[in-house]
Amino acid sequence: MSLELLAQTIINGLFIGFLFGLAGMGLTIIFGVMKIINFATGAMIMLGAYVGYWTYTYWPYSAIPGIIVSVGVGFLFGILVYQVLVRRLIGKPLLTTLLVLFGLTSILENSMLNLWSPNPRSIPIDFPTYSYGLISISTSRVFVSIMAIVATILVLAVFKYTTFGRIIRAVIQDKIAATLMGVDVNRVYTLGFSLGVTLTFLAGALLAMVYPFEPFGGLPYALMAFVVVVLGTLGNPVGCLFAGLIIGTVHSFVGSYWTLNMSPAVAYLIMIITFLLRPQGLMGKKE
Amino acid sequence: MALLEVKDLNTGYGPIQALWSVSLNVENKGITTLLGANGSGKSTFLHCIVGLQKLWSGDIIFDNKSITSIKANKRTDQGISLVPEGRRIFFNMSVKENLVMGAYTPNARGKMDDSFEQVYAMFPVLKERTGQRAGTLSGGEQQMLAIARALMSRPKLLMLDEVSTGLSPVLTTLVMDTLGKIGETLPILVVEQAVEKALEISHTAYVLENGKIVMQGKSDELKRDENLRKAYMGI
Repeated sequence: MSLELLAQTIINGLFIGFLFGLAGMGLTIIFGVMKIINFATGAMIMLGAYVGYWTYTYWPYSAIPGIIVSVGVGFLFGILVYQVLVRRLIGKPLLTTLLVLFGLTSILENSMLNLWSPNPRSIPIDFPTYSYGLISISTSRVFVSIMAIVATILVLAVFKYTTFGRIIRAVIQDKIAATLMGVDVNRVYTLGFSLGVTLTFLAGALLAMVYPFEPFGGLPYALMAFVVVVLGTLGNPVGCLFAGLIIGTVHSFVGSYWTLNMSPAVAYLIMIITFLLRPQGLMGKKE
Repeated sequence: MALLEVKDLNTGYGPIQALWSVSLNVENKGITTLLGANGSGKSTFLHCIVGLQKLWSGDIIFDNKSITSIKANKRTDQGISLVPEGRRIFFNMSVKENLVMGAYTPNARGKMDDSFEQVYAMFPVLKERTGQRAGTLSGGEQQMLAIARALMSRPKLLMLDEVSTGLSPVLTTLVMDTLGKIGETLPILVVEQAVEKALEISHTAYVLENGKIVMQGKSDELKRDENLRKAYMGI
């Protein structure tokens, strides 16, 4: 086992961990606010990737517009999906949510396939790569990691310090009490869902700068996001970030020293062990 | 003219009726109390007034206006504030954040500084613990926080659901005395199982039994009523 491989593995792991964390945060916020599991996460990640991709294709001067457009489209798309579909799923049996959102996944994925072909694409941004001995660090990964960190800090700051964040926390803790305070819970649901979808889109747009993607490529990321959410304690964004980094590192280690094919299996094994030993997640308190 | 006028209210859960033609008035002054045993429909009644429970029929007039079709969260801005059963404070927030949440409505937001002064004067212990996480307060302090939070919305009517539950007799007396003081300036509707104490601080009382009002009148008259004493005070 060479030291270089070890270092490279950790770097790659942390990098993809930020993306897992971001996608997980999108899931966990939605779950925390309205107890809905966004089973369409995978397709939404890919949609975010395509939005970033097309923005870059038409304006290939900087990586930033793709991110901004993806965030904006994600937010609007979130409002649309909430108002048309998810609003009707609140309080319904889990199976209904599962089927409706798998339906949405199918509609999104096949529409992407029909519009944009099954060819894998990636955003061809020319980021330089620096090598130190055998370790190589691509600036695209550094850039993507920084963007993910900035987004995470922003979300946490909004949660902790703004009126909107306080209201979201109030709704997460006690919907009825929040209603009694005068909070329009349905509006908070709309914004909470949109915020979650926005983060999911952002994860996609960032991912597209480093990995190739195709219409059906979202599932592996979504699966990892689910593990991250469980490990990081449902409804806890900080936990998500840490869980993302852990799962990212595990993913990378399995890839380097065994085979990437087994990485989701190992991640899910970790999730099952978490369920058995700490059902409240790593950050959760015992009930 | 009554501040709150509930007329012929019927409601229930699924096919089961919980309240039967309940009519009740809260005057513009002092404390009114609604008494009744567990499961008599007291909380359901309050939920109807704040809009958490749909009416089957009947009308709720508040401040000379029917509020029956107004959504729950909008009723807070009309001036109705409920201290819910079980307090329902935001455990993971600080005391101060809880109070800020109480002043959420547009009406209350502008008066927040003044409201803070008032509730801190009324409950000095909350001022001491302003930065503390609400979940770490003692039961009595949590109840005070719940009342203070309800006052932050600058209500015209304060309603309280079972404030004495889970409190020691000493704390119950303390909370009830505080309510008596608040009641000097703000109309209050108290829903209670602590019958004796509630009758002491209120001027008008209603008794709910199996979803029906079975008794109503001046509190000091009801206090002397044989049947009521037997049924609720164990005397």
